Amino acid sequence: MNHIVYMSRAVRPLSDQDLRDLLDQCRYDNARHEVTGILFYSHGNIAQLIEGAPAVIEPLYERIARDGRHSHVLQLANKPIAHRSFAEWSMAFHPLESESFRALEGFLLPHQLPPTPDSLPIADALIVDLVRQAVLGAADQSAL
Amino acid sequence: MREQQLQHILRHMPAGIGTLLGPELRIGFLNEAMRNLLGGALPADEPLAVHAGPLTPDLLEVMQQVYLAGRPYVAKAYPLLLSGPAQAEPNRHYFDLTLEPLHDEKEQPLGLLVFAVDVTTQEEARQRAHELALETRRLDARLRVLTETAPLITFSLNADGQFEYVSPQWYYFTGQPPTADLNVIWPLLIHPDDRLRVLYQSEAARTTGVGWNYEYRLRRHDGQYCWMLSQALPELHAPNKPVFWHGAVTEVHDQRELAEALRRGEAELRFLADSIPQLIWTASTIGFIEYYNKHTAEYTGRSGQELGPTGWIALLAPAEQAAAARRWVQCVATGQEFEGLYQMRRHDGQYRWHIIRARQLTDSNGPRWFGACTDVDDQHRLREVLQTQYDELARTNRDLDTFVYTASHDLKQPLFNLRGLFDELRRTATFHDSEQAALLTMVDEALSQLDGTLQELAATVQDQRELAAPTEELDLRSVTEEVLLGLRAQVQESQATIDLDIAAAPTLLYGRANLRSVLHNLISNAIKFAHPERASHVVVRSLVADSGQPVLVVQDNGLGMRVNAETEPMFHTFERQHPRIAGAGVGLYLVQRIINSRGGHLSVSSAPQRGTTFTVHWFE
Repeated sequence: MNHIVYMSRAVRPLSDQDLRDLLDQCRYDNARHEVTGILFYSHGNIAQLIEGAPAVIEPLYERIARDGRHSHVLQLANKPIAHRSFAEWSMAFHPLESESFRALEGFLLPHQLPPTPDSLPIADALIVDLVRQAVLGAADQSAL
Repeated sequence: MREQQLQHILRHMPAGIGTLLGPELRIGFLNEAMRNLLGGALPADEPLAVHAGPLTPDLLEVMQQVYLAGRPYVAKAYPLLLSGPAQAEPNRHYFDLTLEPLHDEKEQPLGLLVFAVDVTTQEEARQRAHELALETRRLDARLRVLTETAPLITFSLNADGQFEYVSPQWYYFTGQPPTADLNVIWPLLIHPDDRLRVLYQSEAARTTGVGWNYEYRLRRHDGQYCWMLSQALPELHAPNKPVFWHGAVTEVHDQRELAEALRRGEAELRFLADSIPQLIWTASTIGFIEYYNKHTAEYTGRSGQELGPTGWIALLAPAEQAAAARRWVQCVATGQEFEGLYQMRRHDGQYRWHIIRARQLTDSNGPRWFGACTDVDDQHRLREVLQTQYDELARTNRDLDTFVYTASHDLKQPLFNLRGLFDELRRTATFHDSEQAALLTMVDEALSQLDGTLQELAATVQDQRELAAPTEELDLRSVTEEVLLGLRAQVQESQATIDLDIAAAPTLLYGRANLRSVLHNLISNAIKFAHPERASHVVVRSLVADSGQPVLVVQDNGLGMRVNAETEPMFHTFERQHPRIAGAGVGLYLVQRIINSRGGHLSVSSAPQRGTTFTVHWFE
């Protein structure tokens, strides 16, 4: 079991519809390949943690890195982990129209995000906290 | 039949055909196309000039002349304005008009055959082509101006690597004459250290049919070598078969020098950071460490790669990790300085105390973090040892105080009993021997002395506790009077006169109990050590010294004592200046302790048989 964390910049800002399509597509693909994790998006900034079998997530990351919809892909961690820290794959972002997203499976408003799981090694938890802050902003200091 | 067929063909020809007869050019045969041209069916035998329609006078004139001259004429692409369908704007059409004179059998002029072919499409195409050619010439001229004025040298090479074109800037830059053979001269102007590399790289690029991008030094007209950036791309004609390379050479000397200076500066700073026996690191705006110095690897036993962007957190003592991580996230969010004392694991597993400090620097590249971890383990351990010793001493001190206090109290009761028993004994027993009576007095005195000692010991401990009491603005007169009230018995007994002179500094910011204790001890001492041959006179004076600090002076005319003028007098417990006078020797020790602990000192001047003056400098 490995996990990979990366940050990147969207080539152009993603619309609500883009985000929704991304959510649907990724949830479907990731569930099929037993990939779990979380993706943060805001104002063109993207950060994602994926966990799963190395044989699955290595090529998945390669594909992600080559995706033309984003650039400046910076890998922050790629290493073995003892067990998963995320039960499923989900996404957190600020949609323009939050109402229509509220009921979506696997979608979280940034302020609804649970704290970073304790099961992550401290250095990786710090990476997640820092990318989350870099992408979504430091508004929820109290939750940290 | 044939005639009819011919007529039919002529009538439906797509070109206009018409005959004009006689010197008046009267209208003869007009086929359909010609009638359309002239704007409808015209009455036959009328002169054309009357029904000119779109025909210009100019054209009519030429027709006349062709008729007279009897030589054919062709007007190429002649423009005529034809009225289109009803009320539409007239259209410009172009016709090739052939005017052919007609003769009879005797070679006499008969009229004109007019043949009109609509060439509008061709003509318009021709005009467009002309305009395009003009535009191309204009663009070409602009391109040339651009090429020849832009601050870079442009060039074209053919497939053999021979120069086909070089913009004039090359000649300005190198100072070479326009006749110079580029293929020979250019390589010679490249810096000798770069020449081989450049020749190899350009040849390699040409062989593989790709572009290039490299820097080299080129000799300027003044002999100085300047850094140039040469970039070129192949022009492909047949697939993958480049026939030309087009490129530009730009002067990048300043950038190159600047970059070199930056690289040097950066290398020097890095060398500095790597030489310091501290853990030094830099982090990105969002808090990921990008650089660890060499010492970090030495201390932690892990490379920067292994540590990763947040690996430092795992080096801290496990109990401190979560709080430190939270603090770092918060600092990154707010830009506040990160500072703290943490235990960091060394490569051998030992934890050592470090001060970790990181500050944000904001420059044109955006904010970045610069951090340092300073090993303070030795200092920290020393401080811990000192703290332990200090705590131990403080405890011992407290225990001693308690012991003395308890002892003095516990001894008081037996002493009280002893005194009672002794008084009872004196009342009931009768002594016949006068020496025995003297013995009785001695026991009485010893008992009083023991009582006094116990009281003073208790007072010492009491005062010790009051040293920490808060200060307040005290009225010296009222406190002194209070003290004198307590000493009323001694004052009356010795018939002492006490003068108070405190107008110069009537108040004092001090602990109340402390001030009382100081006054009590100094005044009671003055009375106690009175000279047996004269009445005691004590003066208590409060004034402000030259230093601006308040001072208390207690002067008597008593026994006086020998003072070592060289050294500051030190009064110790149970040290008695006058063994003949009753006392426990605690008083002055106590006064000195109080004054010292509040930041002042006690001085004394005295002459035996004359008197003593104590001066209290409340504050330094």
